[in-house]
Amino acid sequence: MAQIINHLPILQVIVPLLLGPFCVVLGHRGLARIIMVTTAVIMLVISAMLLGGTLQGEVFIYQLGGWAAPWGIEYRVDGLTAFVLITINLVHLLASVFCLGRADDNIAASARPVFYCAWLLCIAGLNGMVVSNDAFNVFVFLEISSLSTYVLISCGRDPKALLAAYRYLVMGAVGATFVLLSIGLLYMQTGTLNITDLAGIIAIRGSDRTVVMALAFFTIGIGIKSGMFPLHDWLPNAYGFAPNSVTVLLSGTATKVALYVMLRFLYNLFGAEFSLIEMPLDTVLIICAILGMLLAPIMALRESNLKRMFAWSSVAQISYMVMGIGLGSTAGAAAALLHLFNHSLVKVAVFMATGVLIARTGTARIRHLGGVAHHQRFACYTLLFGGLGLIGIPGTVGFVSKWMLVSAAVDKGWWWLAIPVLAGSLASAAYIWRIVETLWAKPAEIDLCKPGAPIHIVEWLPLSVITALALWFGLNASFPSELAALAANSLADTGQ
Amino acid sequence: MSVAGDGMAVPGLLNYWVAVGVLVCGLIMVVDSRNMVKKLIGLNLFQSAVFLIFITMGKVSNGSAPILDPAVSTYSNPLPHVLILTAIVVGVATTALGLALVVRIRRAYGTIYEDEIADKPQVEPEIIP
Repeated sequence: MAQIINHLPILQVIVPLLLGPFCVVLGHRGLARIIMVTTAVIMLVISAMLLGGTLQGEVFIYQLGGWAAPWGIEYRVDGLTAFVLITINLVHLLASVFCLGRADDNIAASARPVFYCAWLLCIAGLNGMVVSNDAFNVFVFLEISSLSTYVLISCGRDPKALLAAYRYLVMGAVGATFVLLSIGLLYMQTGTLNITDLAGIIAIRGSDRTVVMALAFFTIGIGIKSGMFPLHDWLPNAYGFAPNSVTVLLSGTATKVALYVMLRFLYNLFGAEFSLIEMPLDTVLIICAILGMLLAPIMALRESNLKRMFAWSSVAQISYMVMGIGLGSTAGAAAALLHLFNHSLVKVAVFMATGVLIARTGTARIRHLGGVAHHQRFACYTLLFGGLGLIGIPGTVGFVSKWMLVSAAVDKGWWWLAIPVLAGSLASAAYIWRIVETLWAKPAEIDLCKPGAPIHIVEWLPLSVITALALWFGLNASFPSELAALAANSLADTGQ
Repeated sequence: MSVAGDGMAVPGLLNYWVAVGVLVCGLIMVVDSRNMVKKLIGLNLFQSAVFLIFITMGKVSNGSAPILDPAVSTYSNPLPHVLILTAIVVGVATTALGLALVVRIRRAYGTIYEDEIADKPQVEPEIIP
C-alpha cells in the first residue's frame, strides 16, 4: 500500500493516458463508456488520497525513471496542486457521467470511442499540467490537452463548431508557442527546466532583459489559454458550439488549470516580488480584470444563444480570479482559488442544466425557450440556483468567494476594487433575470417540448450532486475556505 | 552564448535576428491572411522560428555533435535539440488537426476564406430536428 502511495502523482496522469487509447482499440461504445467512467472514478480516488496526504502536511515528490530532480522530470504535489486536482477530477467524474446521457446524441455511435479517447487524453493533459514540476513538461501536457480539446469542440452539432475549433486551434497554438518561447528564454538564462530550480536561480541571479521577455511571453501565452479578458476571443464560440457535455468539462477544468499554471509561474517560478511588483504586472492584471468584469456581462446581455451567454459569464468570472492573482497577496491568491473552486461547481451545474434543456428542446436560442420551466422543472430550478451563485447572492458559493476577494483587496488598501466587483455582479443579475423571465414567464414562441422526454438518471444524478455540493458549500464555506487558505499558504511557502 | 560555429563564422547574433524575422512574418500571416490554409502555414513558420531559437542556443562554440568520441572534448548541448524534437511532433499534430478541420469546414461551407464564411447568409437551423 505504501508503495502505491509513492506512485500516486504519476498514476494521476498515466491512468487516463493509457486507458484512453483502449477506448479506440476496443472500438465498442459500451466498453468505452465503462472505461471512461471507471477512469474518472479512479482519478477522483487518487486525487482524494493526494489531498488527504497534503492535509497532513506531506509533499509528494515523484522522480520519473528515478532521475534526480534538476536533470530528470519531477512531479510534485503540494497543498495547491492537490486542491486543483480535486476540483478538476470531481468535475471530470460528474461530466463523464453526464456525457453518457442524451445531451449529445448527434455524435454517431461509431465515433463515440474516438470521442471518449479524446476526452480522456484531454483530462490526462490537464492533470499533467497540474502535477508536473518541470516547465517543458507543462508545455507538452498543455499541448496534449489543447489538441484533444480542439477535437472535442469540433464534434458539436452546429457546423459553426468547426469554425470555433479552428479559431481556437490557431489562437491556442500561438499561445502555446509563446509559452514554449518563454520556457526557451528561461532555459537560456538558467540552464534548467525544473520549476523549483528555476525559481532558486532567478531569485539569486536577479532579472535581466531575457527573463523580462520570458515573463511577457508567458503571461500572454497562458492568458490566451485561460481566457483572460482581452485574450478571451476563442472562448464564447468554443463554449457555445461545443457538444453540451464538452462545455461542462471545459468550463470546470481547462481554463481553471491554465489559471493554476499562471499562479504557479508568476508566484513561484518568477517570484511574486519580481513579476507583480518589480514588473507592473499587478496593474496590468487588475486593469484586465476590471474591464472583463464590466464588459463581459454586457456582451452576455446582448447574446441570443443560451450557451454563448453563459460563456460570456465565464469570461466575467475568470476576471475575478485574475483580479485575485493580480492582488499579489496570499489572501488574494486564496480568494482566487476559492472562486476557482466555487465557480467550477456553479458553472458546471449551469451548463449541465443548459445541456438538458438544449437536448430536450433542440434549440439554444433564448427566445425559443419561453415557458420551458413548466416542462423541465428540475433543470430550470438548478439553472436558477446556479445563476444566483454566479451573481453572488448571499448564501450561495459565489457570495463567499467574492466577499473574500473584496476583503483581500481592502487589506491591500485597494478598497475601490469593491466598486467594479459590485457593478459586475449587478450586471450579471441583469442577464440572469432575463433568463428567468424567459424560462418562467414568457409564453412559448413555438411549442418545442417533446412530451415523454423526461430527464434521465445519468443527467439528474450529477446535476443533483453538484447542486447539493454548491448549496452546502454556500451555507457552510469553512471546508473549501480552509483548503484554499492551505493551498495559498503552500504557494507562499514554496516561493521562499 | 556565442553563435559562432567551428566551420563557418556566423556574424554576431545573426541566427536570432533571422529567427525574430521569421517569427514576425509567421505571426503577420496568422493575423492577416483570410485563407485558412495560409493561416496554418503562417502558424508553422511562427513555430519554426521558435525552434530555430532553441537550436541556436544549444550550440556551443567549437562544440561538436553530442556523440561520445575520445578525440573531442567540447560538445554542443543536446537538450534543446531533444526538446525541439518533441515540439516538432506537437507542431505536426497541430497542423494535421488544423488541416483536417479546414477540410471539414470546406465541406460544410464550400469555402476556405474566412470573410466569405462570414458574408454567407447563415441559414441557421432555428430548430434542430
